[in-house]
Amino acid sequence: MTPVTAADTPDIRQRTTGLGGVWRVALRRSAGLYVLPLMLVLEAINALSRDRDWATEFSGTLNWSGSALILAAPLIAGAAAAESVTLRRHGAAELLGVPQARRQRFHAMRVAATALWCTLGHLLGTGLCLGFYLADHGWSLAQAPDPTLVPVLPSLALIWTATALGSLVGWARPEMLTPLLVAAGFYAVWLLLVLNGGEHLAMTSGTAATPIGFRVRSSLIAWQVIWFGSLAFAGTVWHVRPRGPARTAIASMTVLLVLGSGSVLWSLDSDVSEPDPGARARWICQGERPQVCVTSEFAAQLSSFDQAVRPVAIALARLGKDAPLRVEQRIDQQYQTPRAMPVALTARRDTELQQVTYNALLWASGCDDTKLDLDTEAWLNTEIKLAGWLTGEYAGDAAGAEEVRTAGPEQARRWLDQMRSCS
Amino acid sequence: MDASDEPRAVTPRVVVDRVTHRYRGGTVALDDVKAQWPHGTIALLGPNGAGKSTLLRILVGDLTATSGRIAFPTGVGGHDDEGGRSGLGYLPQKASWPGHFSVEEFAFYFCWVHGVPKRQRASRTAEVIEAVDLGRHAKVKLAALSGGQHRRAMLTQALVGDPAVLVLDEPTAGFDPGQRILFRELVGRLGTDRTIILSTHLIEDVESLATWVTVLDQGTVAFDGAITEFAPLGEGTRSGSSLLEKAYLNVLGVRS
Repeated sequence: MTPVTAADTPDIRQRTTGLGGVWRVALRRSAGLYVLPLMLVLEAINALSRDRDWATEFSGTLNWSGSALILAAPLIAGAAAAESVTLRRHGAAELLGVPQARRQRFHAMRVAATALWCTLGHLLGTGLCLGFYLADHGWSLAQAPDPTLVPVLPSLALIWTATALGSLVGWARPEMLTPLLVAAGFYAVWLLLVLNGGEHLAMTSGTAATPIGFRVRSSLIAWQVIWFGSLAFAGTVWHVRPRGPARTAIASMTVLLVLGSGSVLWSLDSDVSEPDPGARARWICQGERPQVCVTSEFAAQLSSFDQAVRPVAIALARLGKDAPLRVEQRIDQQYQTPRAMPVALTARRDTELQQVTYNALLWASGCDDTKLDLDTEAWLNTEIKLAGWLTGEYAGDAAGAEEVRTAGPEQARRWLDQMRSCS
Repeated sequence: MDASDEPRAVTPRVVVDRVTHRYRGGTVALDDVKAQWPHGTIALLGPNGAGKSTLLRILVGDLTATSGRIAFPTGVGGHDDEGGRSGLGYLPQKASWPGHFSVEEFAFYFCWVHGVPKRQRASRTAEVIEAVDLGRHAKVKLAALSGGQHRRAMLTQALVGDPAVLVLDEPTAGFDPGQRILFRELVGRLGTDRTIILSTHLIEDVESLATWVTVLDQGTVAFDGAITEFAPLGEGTRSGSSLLEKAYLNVLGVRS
């Protein structure tokens, strides 16, 4: 090879100056860049799934967005492990040499670069979900009682945790199978958490379901961020300082983690419990006898709710049952208002008319279908026939279908009386 | 001859002071090794298992000696973030890096890893790439380089800190003759203003580069002295094709 002279390389300085800094190199050559397309696909599938019925509430939308990480986080950990394995097998440990500062810089930036790409992927997914929410709510946040993005924090902490731990394990065990085992192990941890009552930690956004819908839980957010953040920190520290004082630091941090989690768990219980959801709910109503009401979070659905339940309530009146003064969204197992007919949580005529009707009939009969004194099967068959007569959609056998089709109002009233005989 | 027993005329750059190293299980890799290396290119010779790599790992700090120490009386060079000099350049035997980095990205990245001040990184990157004759390949991915080019690219990371002491562990192993010649020329140029400690199995490397030779055998020093003292040891020996080969065999043979 001909030796290269200065004349051959007039632009090297210019080119290296134009690299734009070490962050640019680190990001361009990070494993996260390869994970990003996969994450975007997962996030898009998550956002486009379930007919967007998750986009009814702002915090519920964030919760749904976070759920994408149940699948993605183990893959992120596996990719971070793969990067570590690749570097280690290439001899990166030897090239880095001994000074701790070099290793700390190298590992910290590597973890950060991977996590940043994955964070970007998740934020784009969250943006897509919120876009659907806004599209369904007239591009306005007016119906979101608490439009905060704070619940996203646990998701981001989880991404950093997955990256740090995957990177650590891959570096410590530079075998070809390690990334696969890391991802599989992560899924197993999810499963164990859920099976052993750790579903709050396994939730990937700081929201929780309540009787009146999804709500931001400050305790849950704090707990998750403490857990995931501590794991991410411990993983990174262990990675860059495998000997000496790092172990003491990690041990101290573990104690703090347990104490911090304990205190948050103490408050989590009161934060999650909902002593009087009916009293908290802000009702929005329309119409007279029955007055149809939903909580403020469901204001956009009031009309469809009204269309779904009003005919049933009026039909009940034709059967001799006084039309209810009020029909309200059921937000608990308890009746909220005297003489109110509580029906399904949400009411969409196309999917939940039957459920609305069953709830209405249960209310009209005054029975508790879990504590019937008479033949339960016979009572339920009667309920199904009456519901079929009211809605025109019978869900029973062929003989019953003929009976429902030919029944008049008198027969329907008799069915209702049979149902009332439970008590 | 154990040169460490004799006074040196010049200040040594590296002093290996009675270094002993035992691995777990009791294997003694180095046994009371003493040497004093002056400025120049030091060839560390010895058969497999003689303790060369162990000594180099202790030298660069990757291993801690069971007893004894290695000192650098005149410092080791290298720039850190504070503008001071620290660290030494090291090209390990198994040096490699994922192939999706380009040569300049690799060198630039290691400027940062080694703590080269931010304002100097770009110029240092250009300098080391030029120093290893890879200017035309600065934008080329590591995976696309030939074996010799890749080895030179790996050498850039050892040079970015401008070390006064450069440690090369069998840098030409696996090269074809042409690549070996080019790499030797490169090491020769790099050795003009720094001390190079070169572990090798190849007598040709010693012949063309070394100013000083240390032979290790079974964890002890079999020879430590100037090349001019080493070569005459081959005279009168029948085995070996060159004077240095004869000297090498003679040193090992005398001991056995």
